[in-house]
Amino acid sequence: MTAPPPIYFDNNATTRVLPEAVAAMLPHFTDSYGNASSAHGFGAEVAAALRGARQAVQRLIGAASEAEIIFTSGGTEANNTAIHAALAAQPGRDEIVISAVEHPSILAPCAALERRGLVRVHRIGVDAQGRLDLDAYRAALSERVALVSLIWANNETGTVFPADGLAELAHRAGALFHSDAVQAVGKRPIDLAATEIDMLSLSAHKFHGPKGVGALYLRKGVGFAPLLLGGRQERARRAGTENVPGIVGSGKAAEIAAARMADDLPRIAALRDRLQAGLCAAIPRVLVLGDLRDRLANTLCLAFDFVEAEMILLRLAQAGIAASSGSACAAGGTEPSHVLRAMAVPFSAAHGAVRLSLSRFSTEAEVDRVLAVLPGIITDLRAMSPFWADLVASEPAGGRAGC
Amino acid sequence: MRDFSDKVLYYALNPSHAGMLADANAVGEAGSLGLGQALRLMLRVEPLGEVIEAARFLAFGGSDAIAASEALSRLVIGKTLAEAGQLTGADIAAALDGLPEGRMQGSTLGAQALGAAIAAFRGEAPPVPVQDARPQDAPPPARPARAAPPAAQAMARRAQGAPAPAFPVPRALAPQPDPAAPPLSAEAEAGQQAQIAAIIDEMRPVFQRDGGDIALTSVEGLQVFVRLSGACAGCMMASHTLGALRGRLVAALGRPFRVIPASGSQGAS
Repeated sequence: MTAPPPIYFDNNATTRVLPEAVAAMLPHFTDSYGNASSAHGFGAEVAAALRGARQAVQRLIGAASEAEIIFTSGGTEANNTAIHAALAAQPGRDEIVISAVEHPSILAPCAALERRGLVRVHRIGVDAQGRLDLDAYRAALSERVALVSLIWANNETGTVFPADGLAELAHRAGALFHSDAVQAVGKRPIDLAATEIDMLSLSAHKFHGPKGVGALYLRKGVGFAPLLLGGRQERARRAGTENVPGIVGSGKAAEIAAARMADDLPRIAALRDRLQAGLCAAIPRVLVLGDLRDRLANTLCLAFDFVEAEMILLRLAQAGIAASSGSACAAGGTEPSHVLRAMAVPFSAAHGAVRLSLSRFSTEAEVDRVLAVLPGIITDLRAMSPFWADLVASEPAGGRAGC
Repeated sequence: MRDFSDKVLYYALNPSHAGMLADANAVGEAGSLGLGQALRLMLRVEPLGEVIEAARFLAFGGSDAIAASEALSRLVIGKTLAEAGQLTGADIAAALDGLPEGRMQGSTLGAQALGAAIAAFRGEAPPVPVQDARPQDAPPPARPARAAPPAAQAMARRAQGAPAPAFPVPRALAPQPDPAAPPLSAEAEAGQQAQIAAIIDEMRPVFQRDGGDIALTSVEGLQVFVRLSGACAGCMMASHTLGALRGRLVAALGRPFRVIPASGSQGAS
């Protein structure tokens, strides 16, 4: 008996590279190897390819001009650049407003600046659904704030922040607004020209492009200072010879994401919703994490009472299913992620959070297989959990299914 | 997954000793929900030779915790309590071909639960001081607290000196004083005394083998007074054997008795 093909339900970590993107990249490893800055024909050909990619990314996020796209080495560099640029552009302001559920590539640079005494950082909390505390956000805004940086869609729960409205509030205080949209770009329509957002980070490998390529959107007219100094690439905003194959592949992935989004998103959401309903019907004492009214179409984050996520993932992997957990390997063993802690996920389930993230490659058959496998894994693990044994002993009805 | 040894993964995925042990007479717990790992180790100890005849576990935690629980169960079966008591977290880790740096907690958990099980059998206090892991200013949990299962209470009580959990332990799980043993009716008390006498009679050959004897003097609440005589009185083995007797009484009657020896020469009958 042959093992069924593996199922990849970890698309918020990274995605399968589109064959079309790979095909677009290959010539730039072989014949078309010129440097876009060169004046000769080798360079001109490559410069044209870069321009095409830039325009594809521009269209994916609804930017007004291709000149607003700065290619980077990824989302992390884009986030670091945004923080650096905003502080440099507004010397009189030394506060940053972020949320408690940002990606580490925002949290860590802010913490480093704070430790050096250069800025004051406001970290705005979230509620149990992961929604931003708007009152605290408004209270933190002042004429001292240089930058507001808020994640558009959360990588763990898929919860979406209302970035356009949050940007307007930031502008009323005269602060710049940046959004880490690494999880949102390609997974929901974005029309930056219609918003007040000043900067936005994206990463190609989250929408079926290659790894090692990202971009910072910088609205025309917004002050800027480059993070990497050197040559005059990217209109002197990001030094270093361009990663031409990667950028061209990213452009192809952006083009396809934009073209297929209207068809893909409802289909992915339907798969995700069927997965959620099926698991909730089959498994007692499970929480669906995130804002169910505004969540990425592909993301399902579940927290199971009295079992530990690592064991769930290990058993899923054994069954050929790749997912990820809301736990981080910490000094004292595994502990719930900063996102789950910020959401105050009940302690009984905080160690049992598992994220299933789908993509356009996900199928009905894959959802069926996860529905067939995961409930049994939870039952098995609970059968050996002392807390489950005590629950069943003290509360026989506590084992009923339903979210 | 991570850099766990094949043995860790094998034990974590195939724990043949997971589950309840109905006739356990030595149960030890360590860890808590808040810590992300917990272990209830159940042993069946043959009281005469104190040989561990069976071991099963219930565990909550990552691969290291499940695998360490399985390895520990395999290690202790066939050992005497004295031998098992020598086992350390390092021994458990060695039985797993090692644990990755930063993931040794599972083996520590195993050693703690084993220590607690042995102490429970002997009627001693758990080897590690009991501590309240709940931060005093912790907010209440988002989900309404429900009546805590007894073992969860015990586990919360034994959050042995570990760092405060990332999440508040709800009040229902917070340490609570042990309720005093409920008083028994006169009839129940007589029945209980007869059972105690029968168990002591059963164990007399052990004491006689050592050249002594044992007799029940009286039962007052949870205190069982016995008279030791001959070679048994005051000898090292006596306290050992009395521990086994206590374990039998606790297991059979389900109440936390203490066995108190009176001096043989002055013993009343």
